[in-house]
Amino acid sequence: MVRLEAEELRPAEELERFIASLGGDGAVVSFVGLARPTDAAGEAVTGLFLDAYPGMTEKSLEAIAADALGKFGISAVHVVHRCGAIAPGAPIVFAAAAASHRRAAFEAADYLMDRLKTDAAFWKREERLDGATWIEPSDADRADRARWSK
Amino acid sequence: MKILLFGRLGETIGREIEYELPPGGCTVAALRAALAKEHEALAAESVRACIDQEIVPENARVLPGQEIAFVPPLSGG
Repeated sequence: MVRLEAEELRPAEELERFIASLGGDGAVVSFVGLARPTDAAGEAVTGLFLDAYPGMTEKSLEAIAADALGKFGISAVHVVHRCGAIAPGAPIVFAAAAASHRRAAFEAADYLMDRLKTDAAFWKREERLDGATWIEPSDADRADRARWSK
Repeated sequence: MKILLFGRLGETIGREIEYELPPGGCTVAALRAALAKEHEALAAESVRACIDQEIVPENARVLPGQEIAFVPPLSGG
């Protein structure tokens, strides 16, 4: 259901494997997040480092996946999240949901990403030519997350 | 006991620090105060303690054999 990946994330393989694991669903929605080449101010980002707490980070991913399963009446979710050093443009997260019909799968994938962006146990460092910065969720991330608490 | 540190704490202080816990344990607040004497960054309110991989309040009791960590605010994925 979830995996913390320290090496390269290959979205096409993850999607193929997820689809092969299903039985009788009519819809799969998948999302791939890529490491952006620029920061919020438009400065070039030379790399991203995602620090994870072995055990606790996986548990946070599992809790988010379980909430998505319980909330949308979907049949399966698949989340793979990178940790460690990530190059600009490289996949950082794969999130997919499978359901009988597309609407629930779309909503669940949207929910998965909003939760992952704020509640996943990671500490993110953006590296630029002039130094590195540890970052926190943006107000936009918090607002996206709050949509689901209503 | 080993205390684990993550994110910017792990970078600036180190991934783990050693601390001699009193035999009967102590509260998170007492542990934090003791560690902050040497590592001021641990005094910040935004830094939270974890016992056995769960974020806990300041009055939680730290006992020998538990896995203790201090973490900065989560950045999310």
